[in-house]
Amino acid sequence: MHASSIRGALAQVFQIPLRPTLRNAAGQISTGITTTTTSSFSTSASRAAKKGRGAKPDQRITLIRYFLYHPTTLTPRPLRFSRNRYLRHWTIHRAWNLYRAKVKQARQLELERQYNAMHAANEELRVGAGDGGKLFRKAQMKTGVWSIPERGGGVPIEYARGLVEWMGSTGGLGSSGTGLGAKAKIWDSEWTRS
Amino acid sequence: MAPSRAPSALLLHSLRSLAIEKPSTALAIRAFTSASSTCQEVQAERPSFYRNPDPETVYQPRLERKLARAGRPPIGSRRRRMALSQSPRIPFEQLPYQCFQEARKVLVEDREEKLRKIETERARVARVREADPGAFRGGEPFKQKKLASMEAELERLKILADINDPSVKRRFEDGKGDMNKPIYRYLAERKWREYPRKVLVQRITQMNVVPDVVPNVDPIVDVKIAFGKKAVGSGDFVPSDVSEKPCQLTLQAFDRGEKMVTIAVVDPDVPNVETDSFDSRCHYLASNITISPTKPLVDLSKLSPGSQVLLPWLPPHAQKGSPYHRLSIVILQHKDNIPIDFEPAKQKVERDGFTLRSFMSRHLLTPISASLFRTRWDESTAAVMERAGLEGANVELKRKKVEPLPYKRRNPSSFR
Repeated sequence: MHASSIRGALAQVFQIPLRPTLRNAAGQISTGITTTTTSSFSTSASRAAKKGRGAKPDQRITLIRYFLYHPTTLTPRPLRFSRNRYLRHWTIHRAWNLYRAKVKQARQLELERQYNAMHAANEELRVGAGDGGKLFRKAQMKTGVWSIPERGGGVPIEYARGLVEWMGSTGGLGSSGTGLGAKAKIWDSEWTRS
Repeated sequence: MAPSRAPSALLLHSLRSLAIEKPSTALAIRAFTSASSTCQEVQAERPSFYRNPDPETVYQPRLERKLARAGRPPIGSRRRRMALSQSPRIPFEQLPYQCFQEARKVLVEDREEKLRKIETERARVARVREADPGAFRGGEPFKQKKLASMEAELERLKILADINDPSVKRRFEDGKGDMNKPIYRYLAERKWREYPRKVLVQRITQMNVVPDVVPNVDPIVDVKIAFGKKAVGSGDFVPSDVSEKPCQLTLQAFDRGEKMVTIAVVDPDVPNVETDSFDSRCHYLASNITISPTKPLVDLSKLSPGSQVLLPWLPPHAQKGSPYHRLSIVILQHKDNIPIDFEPAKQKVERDGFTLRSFMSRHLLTPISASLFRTRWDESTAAVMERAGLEGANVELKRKKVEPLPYKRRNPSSFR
């Protein structure tokens, strides 16, 4: 009874124009063109008049629309807890925050440690290798990092920069000479599909 | 069919008995934990419940009446008491919710870590305190600075150790927090700064207490005003018969230790007809008052007249026709918490034409909080003034009529 009253209210709220659903279509076929639906056993129209509501929209459509679009179903339910339950909720929340903070802190420390280790290794290479830092300088050179793998480089140049309108003839790899700039071509005009 | 059903019934019965036994074993296990289990106590006192009902759990009207006659009225609603009496009364910490218990484990572990940190920090502070100031490059001032910052860190750790405890939160929300402990002071200050302090600052700046009475103030002490049982918000109008007796102040400080303060009640809105302006008058002045976070109450009528009260309470009064008077209450802290010399101060201070700024500079006081209430002419003001022996109740002040300039006159002679 309760559900039906809710349905009634919802049907009033979401009043939609009549559509030829299965039930309505059947009714229309049985009654022909007449607008009032009468019982086939009764000769009087009084029952239809007493019911008085005419054809209703399909309840299922009303419900579907309610659960899809009505704001009360879209808004999350507010958290209303008893005191103990609220305190439990709060405890869990605090513990979770604490845990997250600790994980974050640990990650940060690990990164810092790795950075420091790299820095120390570089410093050792620069000072302690005994070659006046030549090895260090060579190791720090970035030429050839960005290149086409077939031409002896590491990572394709496409990953290094964003798209630009114009590019130099060497693709930003330095002036042509004996270095990488000589090998760099932004347009290989001799290329054919072999 | 019957012979086949019998063993299953037996089995069911045994299962049921197992199921019943299970909670009791769980209870027994719980009793071995260090925390006190209230279940045991409840079971122990149950036989004599009708003789000696508990005001927490009694719900029969007859027993309630019996308790009320005995002077121990039942606590809470009957519905709550009934629910309590029928619940297993498991302590909050031991409630068997898995996520909650896991969370508690995390928090307990964190608290232990914080306690260890506190221990090491204490040891460090002690070492620095023992150390010779010559060992530091900055000497003694550097050492003091270092000590202060280490103490601050220690306080922070103490707060962090307790801030995640649900029982601390519960106790604070119930108003049962011990203000000796840093965590409750911290929570109280946070709560105060969240809203009441903002209101207070707004009132004292919008009603111009701040430039008119004190040059500036950054409130660090909560001030609550009450006349008898009637609490007065900051800036409220108080009827003059209510404010005839001195008020009670609650000066809630939030940092550790005692403070030596002076309380001044100054009215900066006394109309002066001769100069056509306003004077200030001191309605109350008392010095050498000690407040602490645990003892915030100051009853202005109960301070000792021989060593504290410089000027006794003069009932606030506003003459008829004068604009409302702001009775601004200013709390001033003594420098280094040293009491001021009472007798010379008393001889020097004057009620009329009192300026708080000169008093502050004379005795090296700094304002730590301010509040105000307002008063205006009402039906009882005349009686109050008569009882206090004040004159001027039969005078009504009127605005001076300002003659409009000739070209602004409504009906100048040139029009006729």
